[in-house]
Amino acid sequence: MASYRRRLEGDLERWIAAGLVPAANREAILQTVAADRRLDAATALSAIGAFLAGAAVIAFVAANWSDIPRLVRFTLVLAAFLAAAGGAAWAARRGREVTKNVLLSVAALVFAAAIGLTGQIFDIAGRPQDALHGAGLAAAALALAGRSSWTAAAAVLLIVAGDGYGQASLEPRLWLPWTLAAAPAAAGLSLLWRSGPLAQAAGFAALLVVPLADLTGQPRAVYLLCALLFTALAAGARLVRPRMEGPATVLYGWLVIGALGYFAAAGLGLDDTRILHPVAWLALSGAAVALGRHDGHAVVTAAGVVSLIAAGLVLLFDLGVGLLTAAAVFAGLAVAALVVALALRRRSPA
Amino acid sequence: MTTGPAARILATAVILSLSLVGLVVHEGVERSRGVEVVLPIAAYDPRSPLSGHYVAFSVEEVRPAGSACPPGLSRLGESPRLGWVALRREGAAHRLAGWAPERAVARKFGEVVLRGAATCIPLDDGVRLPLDLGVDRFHVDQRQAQAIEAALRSAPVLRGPAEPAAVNAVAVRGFAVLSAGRDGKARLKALIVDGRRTDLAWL
Repeated sequence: MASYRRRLEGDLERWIAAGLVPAANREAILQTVAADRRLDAATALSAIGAFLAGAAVIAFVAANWSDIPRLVRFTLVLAAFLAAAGGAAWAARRGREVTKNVLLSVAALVFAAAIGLTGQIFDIAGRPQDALHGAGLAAAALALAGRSSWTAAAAVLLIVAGDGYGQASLEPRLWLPWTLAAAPAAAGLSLLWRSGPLAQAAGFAALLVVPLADLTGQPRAVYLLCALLFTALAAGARLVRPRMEGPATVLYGWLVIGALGYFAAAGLGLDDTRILHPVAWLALSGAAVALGRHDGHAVVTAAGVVSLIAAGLVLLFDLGVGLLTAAAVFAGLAVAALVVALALRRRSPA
Repeated sequence: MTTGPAARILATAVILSLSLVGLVVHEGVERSRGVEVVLPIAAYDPRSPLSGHYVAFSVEEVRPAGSACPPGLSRLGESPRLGWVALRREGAAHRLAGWAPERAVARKFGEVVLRGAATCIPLDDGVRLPLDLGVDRFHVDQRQAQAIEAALRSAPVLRGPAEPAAVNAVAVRGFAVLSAGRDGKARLKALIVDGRRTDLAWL
């Protein structure tokens, strides 16, 4: 896919040829857009070499792990963490954003491993979900300290993993998973830091809040409420898109997926005589497709299409063998879609 | 005065490292302070061959066939419930006295209570009482781990018609020495196999 700068260069050529933009302004306009960052071969090879050297050291230590005294093993684990964090601090001081992000994320993951290894070294028994939550909190602290969106994304995923692990344990399920706090916090930070990767992690986590909570036996109204909440949040993300293009666009997509998903879940288990839900689901899916096309948002469009297919299948299933009724419903929806499309076409300027 | 990201990263890293050191020290102190409890163990299958060098075991008591299940325990087929396991001292070791969802209730069954789950499995040739106290492995070097595990497995196998095929319980050849903390947490201190005690050492 061509970068924005390359597309702009092409557009500028056309605009200059059409007389829309003076040729003298070409360079000035292009200078307002950052040039593409490319990794040269030497840098890429250096990175690969560094990773291989790290792997060699890890393999050597692992081969002799049980022969190393416990306190030395613990010191090695802490030294690895402090080295990664120290490297990130050095990169931050030098203004090397990518290096800082990479090293701080490595430090967060090394700390997560350090929690597990410390438990192993000193035979400290504990719940895996506590270890993952602790690792998530540590990663969040490092992310905030270094203003690192990649590390914040790692923190969100560790917290989600902790909640997920908690579901499989003997412990009572968590009514309020940590993800409930982590997802909105990450979404807010992604907007503040203009970070797409963090927005991806926040959106993914937001979808999982309800499955990670103990909703066994809860009424479908909760899912309906979630669908409404996600719709409202999606509308909010859509509103701030012009000002916060990257992360808001990402969040908008995830929130639409959530709204459609929870609306679909709200209909689970309804008896087969109630076709109101799948019909409404079908209409909402169609609206999502239209909205996605209107906003030029591929994820929203795709979510709408997938949801449309699922809703259609559920509707057919709910209608049983009544194919004539199914035909009537689909024909009605088709007419409604055509009428709305016609109305939209008339409203739009020629 | 504002601090730069480099200083903040270093400060956070130091705090996190100290918290890990603090955890190790706290667990060590709690382990030494707790009441020592000796419980029978059995080798356990299946085990992961890729998880480092350790002895995998299950804390498990075996009683003669026809023995009554201690009060409150889950039965075979039920999912074990997390609560409080009560233990009573009998001679050099402890015996399972009962289980209750509340600590105060469990204390009525035995003088030591630990957070965990317990199941009663009546078989043709004995009654198995596996306990889940969150302690199921002992990290030692490979030679020691293999020797301890071989000794645990040399005991005769106890089988019954209702036993799941994946579980291979053996009669008592070893004991786990646990520390019962004030917080109700069981912490492993040592293993005794064939009368030989192997303690956890910091070095």
